[in-house]
Amino acid sequence: MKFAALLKKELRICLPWLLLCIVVFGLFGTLTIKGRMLNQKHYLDQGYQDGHPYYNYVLNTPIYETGPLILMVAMALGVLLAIVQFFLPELFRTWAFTIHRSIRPHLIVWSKFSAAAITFIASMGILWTLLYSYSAVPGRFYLPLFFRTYLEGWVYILVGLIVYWGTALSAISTTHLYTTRLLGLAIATGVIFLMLLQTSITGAITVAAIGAVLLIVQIFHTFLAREF
Amino acid sequence: MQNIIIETKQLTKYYGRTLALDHLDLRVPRGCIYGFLGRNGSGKTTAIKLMLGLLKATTGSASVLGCDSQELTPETRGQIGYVTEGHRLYRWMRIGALEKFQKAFFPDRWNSQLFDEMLEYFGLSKKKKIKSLSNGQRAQVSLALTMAPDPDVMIMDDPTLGLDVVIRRQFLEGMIHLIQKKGKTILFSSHILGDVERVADRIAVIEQGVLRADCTLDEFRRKIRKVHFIFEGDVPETIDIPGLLHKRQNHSHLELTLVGTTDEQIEQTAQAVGAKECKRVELNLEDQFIEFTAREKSKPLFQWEA
Repeated sequence: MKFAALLKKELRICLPWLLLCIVVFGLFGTLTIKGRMLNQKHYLDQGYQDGHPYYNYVLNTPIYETGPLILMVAMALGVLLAIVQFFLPELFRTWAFTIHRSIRPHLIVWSKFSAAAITFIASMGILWTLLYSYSAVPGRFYLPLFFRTYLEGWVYILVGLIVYWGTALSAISTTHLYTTRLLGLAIATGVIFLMLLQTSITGAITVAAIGAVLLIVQIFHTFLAREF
Repeated sequence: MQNIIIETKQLTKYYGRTLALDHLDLRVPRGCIYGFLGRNGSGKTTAIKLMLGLLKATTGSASVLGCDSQELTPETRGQIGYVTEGHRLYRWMRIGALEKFQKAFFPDRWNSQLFDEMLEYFGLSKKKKIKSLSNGQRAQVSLALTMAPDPDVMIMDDPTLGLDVVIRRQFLEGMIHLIQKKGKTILFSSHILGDVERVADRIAVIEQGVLRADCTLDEFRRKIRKVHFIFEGDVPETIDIPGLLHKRQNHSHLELTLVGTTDEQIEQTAQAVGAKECKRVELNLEDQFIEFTAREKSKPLFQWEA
């Protein structure tokens, strides 16, 4: 009941960003896929002509183009959620009111993480699944989609969560700027860089998991050790 | 049953190299209304946050309800009501939503009737958002939220700061309502003497992180005194009297602020320094507090004073 109350509060904090994310990602994701479908139809109707970027429009699966979009939206969502959950309580000095209650402090952090994860899944995860499912219907595109593409989308969503944890760590750190305050963002940047270098999905997920553990452990350590 | 509800032992806190609290020893007995007095920046908030484990002590320790402040269990926290300085609540929440949120942490203790009564007394609607409330209204919501779970001990950090006279009175009346319940212990910090005078039965005065007094209100009233020694000739440059806090010279008058000095000692000193007359000046609590906590004037406030 106590955790549920905290989770509900955190979800309410995340709600505007969840909705914004649905609008932005939904709109641009749909436009990207629909646009490419129209282009594909246009070029297929015209037939092959010299000089036309035939390959780009017909053979390349348009869903790939949503990759950078997922990455950008996920990173922006990660930063925003971390700011509203971890930095604004600092700014408005509500930490003391939150901490002093009959619940173990680490559950406060878990409630924030849970709300953020739900926000990512409910906005980007579901939308990405819908976009992929729509695009994967046979006959919609010239080339069939690979399931790997779907998983790659989830890897990009994971990048957003890494950014979230990194920003959160930086937001709650109170000590010296270059030794700890930027540590979260530095770890997150390193992890993302390594993730995107991986050629296999398993490799990217493994790097993300290691990075996530590093950041989460450090967030708990910082949160439980710091003063409010 | 625990008789000392809040206790600090040699509690010291440094922020970097700045000493905020210097070896504070406090004992707040059960059922006591404890006024924690001090000027702005004297260390009141630091002491309270240390008591609640929100800050970590450099040295020394604090305990509430017999539980070390650094190890407060959720159960113990549930027994301690805390009104934060500035009444920092979630600005985006409505009062009704905040009530539901708070209630979830006190499923067995929450007194909905008391909460509703308090809101009605303060004239607040549950539909109002926290960010639309004035400072005073936020203070009222904060008090209602803290009192509704019926805590065994309440710690309030300058709860009347920034409130006007009427709201302050209402707030204190709300507090008295709680006081009337048997066995409740309240520690509240303030720099407004009238508030403390109205409700406290014991006070601690803290100045620049150092505990300067810890006594009953009557004792404080009795102990802080001001006397004027009037001289016919030259006023002596030095004076040796027990408990001398400040001395100020005004022509042939020597104004002395004393702590715990007996009538006999005053008379003896007056004779020893050759004072023609010795006049006792009546001080109200506010004057006493100002005299007690005033730092030495380093330079004139206005040019014409020089």
